[in-house]
Amino acid sequence: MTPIRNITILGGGTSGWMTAAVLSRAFTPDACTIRLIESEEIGIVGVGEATLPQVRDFNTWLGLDEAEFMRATNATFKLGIEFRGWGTSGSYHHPFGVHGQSAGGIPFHQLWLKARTFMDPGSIEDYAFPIRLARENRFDFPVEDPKSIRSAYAYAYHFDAVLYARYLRQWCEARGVQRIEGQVTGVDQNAETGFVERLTLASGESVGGELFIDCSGFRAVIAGQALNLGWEDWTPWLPCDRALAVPCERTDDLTPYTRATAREAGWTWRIPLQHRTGNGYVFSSRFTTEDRAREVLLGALDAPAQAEPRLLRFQAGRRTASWHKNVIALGLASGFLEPLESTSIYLSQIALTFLMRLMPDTRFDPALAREFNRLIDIEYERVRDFLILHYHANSASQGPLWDYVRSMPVPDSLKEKMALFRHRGHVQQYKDGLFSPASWIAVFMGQDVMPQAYDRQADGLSEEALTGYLKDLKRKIDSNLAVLPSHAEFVAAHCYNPNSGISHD
Amino acid sequence: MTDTSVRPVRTVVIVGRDEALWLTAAVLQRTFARSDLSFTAVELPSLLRPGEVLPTLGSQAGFHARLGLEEAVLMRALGATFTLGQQYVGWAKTAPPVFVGYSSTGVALHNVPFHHLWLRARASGMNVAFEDFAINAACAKQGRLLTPDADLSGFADADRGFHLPAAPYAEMLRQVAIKRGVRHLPAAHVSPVVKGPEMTAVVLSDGQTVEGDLFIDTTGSDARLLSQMPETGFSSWRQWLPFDRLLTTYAAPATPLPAYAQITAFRSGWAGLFPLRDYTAVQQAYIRDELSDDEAFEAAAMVVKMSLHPQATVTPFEAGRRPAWSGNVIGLGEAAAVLDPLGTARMPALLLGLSHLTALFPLDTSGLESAVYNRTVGQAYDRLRDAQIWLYSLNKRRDQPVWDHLRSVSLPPELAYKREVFAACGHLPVYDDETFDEAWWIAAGLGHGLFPATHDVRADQLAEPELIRHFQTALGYVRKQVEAMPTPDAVSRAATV
Repeated sequence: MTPIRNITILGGGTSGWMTAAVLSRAFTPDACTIRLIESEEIGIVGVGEATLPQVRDFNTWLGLDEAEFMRATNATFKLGIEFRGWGTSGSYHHPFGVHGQSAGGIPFHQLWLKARTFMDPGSIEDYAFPIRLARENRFDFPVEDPKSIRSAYAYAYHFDAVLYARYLRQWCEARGVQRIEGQVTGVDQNAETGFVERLTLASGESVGGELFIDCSGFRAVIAGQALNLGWEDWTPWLPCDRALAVPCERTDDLTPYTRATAREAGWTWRIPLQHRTGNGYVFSSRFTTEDRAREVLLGALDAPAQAEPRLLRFQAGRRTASWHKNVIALGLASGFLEPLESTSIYLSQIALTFLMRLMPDTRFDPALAREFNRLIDIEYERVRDFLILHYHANSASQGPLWDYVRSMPVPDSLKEKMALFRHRGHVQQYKDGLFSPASWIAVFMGQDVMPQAYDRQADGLSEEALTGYLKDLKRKIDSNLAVLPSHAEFVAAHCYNPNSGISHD
Repeated sequence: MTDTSVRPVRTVVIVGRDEALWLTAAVLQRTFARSDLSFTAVELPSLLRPGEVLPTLGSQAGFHARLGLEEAVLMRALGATFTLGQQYVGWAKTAPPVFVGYSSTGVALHNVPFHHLWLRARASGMNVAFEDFAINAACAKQGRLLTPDADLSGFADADRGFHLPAAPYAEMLRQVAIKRGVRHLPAAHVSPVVKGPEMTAVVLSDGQTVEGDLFIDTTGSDARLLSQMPETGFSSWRQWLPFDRLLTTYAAPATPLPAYAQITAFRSGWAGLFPLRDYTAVQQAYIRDELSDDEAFEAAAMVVKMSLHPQATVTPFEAGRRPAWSGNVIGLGEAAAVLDPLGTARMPALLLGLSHLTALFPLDTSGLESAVYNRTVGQAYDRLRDAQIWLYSLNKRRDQPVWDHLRSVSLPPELAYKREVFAACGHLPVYDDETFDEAWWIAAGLGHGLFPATHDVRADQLAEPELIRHFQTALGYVRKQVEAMPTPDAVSRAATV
């Protein structure tokens, strides 16, 4: 077998530099030359980015120092997402953790459902340590001891995606990744095999390679424009196709969570960074105008805007094959799912994990591409269903968009999941794919998809024992919570960037 | 089923026999003891054969814990033994035996999975078997038993399964179930009563009618109840799993006591030895068209080279499955899926059905759970089947019709895909609802000589000395751990004190 000795990455956004970082961590410069082409002229998407806990594995694998990385990207901590206006309670959290603690193998939400039949146990959120932390704007690292209630959550970050890409770029360049400035004007394919052989830049320079990774975002310069690889459109389920993004000044209560608020024709995000707050409105052009969307977004800010809102266009869906011959589309070039559950960096990361498992040699055995595409499809489809759930089960919002999503036909897999949960609070576990039963339970419950009955396993605890169990759990959460610092204090002590707010190049 | 007939499930009737009946009854009774469910076990005459053994995985321990059965007490009372895996003898006519155990093999280096490191070293001439880096294989071959409190942190994931003598095990579960409150009705045979879309009762041989809201069929491969329901046709797996006869007998206990099962292939099938404290259980799977039952007995004695008890039982079987849940009837164990006796699949199939049923135990007679149950459990049975076909398909016994067929038959699509990807690059796709993990599949594949065309390119970047040091450290670690482990006899003796 002949190993690949030249890899060319197109695009220097988050996914491009993440790809370069993974490859330069895996291959020494003398084993493989890694080039990344990017253009200063092409803006990258990223106002503030919310992530998932998996990004920590990524950073750890690269060996990044957490505090340094957070300072460099003006990052804050994230315990989950607050969904406002999606259910009748007004606000619920989807935490990086579970509600309560299971007892004797019985899932906690089943115990809570049983408790409701004979007492008022309060909101199920009162039993989730990360939700309580988030609601009180506190933060601390989880502890290792699995018996402690303080071990039952994970955390992620909010960071400035532009700064994150820049930080990774420095890291990559120090390890020998070659950055090439320029815009691609031509993609040359072998006439016989269809394999891409080189990219031509506006300067006339040409860049070869044996493997090309297309991280050029929505434009998908290689995979979409040149190879014309198919696109599966998911707009019928996820009709939002525009976003307006704008930063505003930060506020004092530095919240350790992302907020997603349902609006008349979509939803707005709020992502708190050290130096400012990122905001955006994801909406459907079928159900509102850009002018109206701008009005809604600016009206939703909790401090003055720092710039003019920027418009992004997109289409929910996925490339039918992300890996074709010697081209792999990654990040937005491979698929787009709106940031409602902060999945975009994760989807790049998991694609890189799969690529590492299936790294080809110059023969490009088609079995590798097939397996890569199979794994990617599972990831995208499972995230997709979870996002559709948010819209379809929204029990609070008014307007034509919401009427549409509430009555649209949804994938059978989702229909079945909802029916089983309504019937008895059951969530089927799957091996691959991002969201565990705990996530589904949080959204179901938060959006009023309430089980009609509890699982009789919960009868294993008598009413008296259950009452005592819930009381103890609440007490444990209260006493552990009281001693923890505020999120703002924690950031100040751990990873504060004194220059935040000042531009740094 | 129309909504008008939907009613809560309160009365559950479990009809069947042996370990399937009593494990189901005991576990359900224990799980729902305080609920409003009542459980009746209708016990049919036993079909257990003298000397029968139930090989099973470590996951069985979770059920024992749930039932409050202490492992040491159980092992002592039954004369059961621990097993670290299976040794396959004669899968190729000239190759050495292959051990496939319940542990990981080797340790990754710089995130490169160990089997890729091994493949690279093999390509450059290293001649150390893959299994030599697996703690279970090393323990088993050195006559040691891995103890559960051994600190293998960071080095290996290891587990041990059980060989359970069938009759005393079923008897123990029966006592547990009855003591915990399961109503027990023995019967010579039963007649199910089906009205419209549901089963309403079973009539016992003594004329008694037992009504119920839900019926669980643990009668075995006849599926006496389930087969009366609509859309429960049996899909045969014979094209992939052609063996149709199982001979069961036993021999003297082995000394010293091995901590593994040995499966030896011969022209028309295979014969397995399953060591127990008081005897050695013997099973032989073969093809009726090639061997009469008398010939089979003689063949077994020759293959295992032991004097076998002449009271051998021959049971016909056909591997396959049927939809497990129809209306208000749910099949568990062989009523739902008949696995080939190879490896460890029959008992795990029962556990799979039972644990999914516990999680989805129906609230009412609407049957709302049946679709998801049938799909997930059906897939899980298929993946167990695929693990067996995987083992069979890797044989190299050329010019023997059954084995040639097993090697060349076109595989079920999911398995064919798995094999194609593994053969191409050493990556092993694992699906939802798999019983055996990636480590097991890889150990079986590489052990039986299915070598991927390429390995992880990152393995090639490692400097030779670093790689050699890594292998030496791993082998040294295995050697040291194995030396510290007790013999299976010592563990067995300690359990009898």
